[in-house]
Amino acid sequence: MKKRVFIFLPLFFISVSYSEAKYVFNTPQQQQQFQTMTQELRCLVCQNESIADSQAPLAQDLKQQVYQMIVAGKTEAEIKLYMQARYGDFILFKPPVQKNTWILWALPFLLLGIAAIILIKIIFSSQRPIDRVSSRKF
Amino acid sequence: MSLGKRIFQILVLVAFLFSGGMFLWQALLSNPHLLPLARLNQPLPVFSAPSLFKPDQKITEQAFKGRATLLNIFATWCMPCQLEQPVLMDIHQHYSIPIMGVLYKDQPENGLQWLKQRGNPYVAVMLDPEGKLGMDLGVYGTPETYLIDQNGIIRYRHIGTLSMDDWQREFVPLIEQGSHTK
Repeated sequence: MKKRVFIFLPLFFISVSYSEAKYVFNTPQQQQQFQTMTQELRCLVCQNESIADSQAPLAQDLKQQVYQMIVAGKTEAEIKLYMQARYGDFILFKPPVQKNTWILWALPFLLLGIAAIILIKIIFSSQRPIDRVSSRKF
Repeated sequence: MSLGKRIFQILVLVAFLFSGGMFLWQALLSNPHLLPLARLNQPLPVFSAPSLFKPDQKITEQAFKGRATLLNIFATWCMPCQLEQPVLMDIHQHYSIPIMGVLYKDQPENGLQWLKQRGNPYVAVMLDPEGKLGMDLGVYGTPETYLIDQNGIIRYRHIGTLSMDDWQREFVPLIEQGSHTK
């Protein structure tokens, strides 16, 4: 009974192999670059999906554009710039560090720093009475 | 602990909660599907698209120079575009601003039939069968309506069906403002 379930397993891979078949690359590096880049670009229609995952027509168009640019030998930076110029920073899943995003990047470290200061303060303030006791003994 | 220090701690806490609350409130109120326009206040991208009415002619960004123009991205397969069409007809009949269309990822014959049946608000329609012009503009959801000023600079974009209310509220003040500074 359980084994029968596995018969359907190949079905899950059909769509993947189909969608990838359209794109033929000159080198494995290009293919690698295509896969990473399409994961890093956001689909603007279904916003929590990358263009690699999305089936929206616009995502397909953008994927096609990334493919063409990679095959034409464009670098990752050039492709990102192309997309940003048209769709803004929002298309990048990883926002660049700039004037309006620095706080986004800095805040975790800032909070960690504050937490560390509080922790150190707590440790030192609770050690003082023990020091006093021990200095009396010896 | 001194009173001053205690008050300071409470103030820090209040400031922290307040800024967090503001952040959350703003996030709740904003519509994530209305994206800011990357090309706002930039010139139209350079393009050359075939004309729907004169198939042997190309329309370029130069066609937008000289007077303020509306640029409307539509398709016959797009349901919201059907709702929007009467509004565009209304604007066409009551205002002097020319409306340029982009037939986005659609066949010319569909476009011609559509305009024949529903009326034509456009002075010219550009063909964009593969959505390349759309991509250069940053189109992500049809219909979209752009305001291009007399120098060919993109001044505004409305995403989704344009209503007469949207037109009055968003476009008319911008157009009036632009005509004063000409």
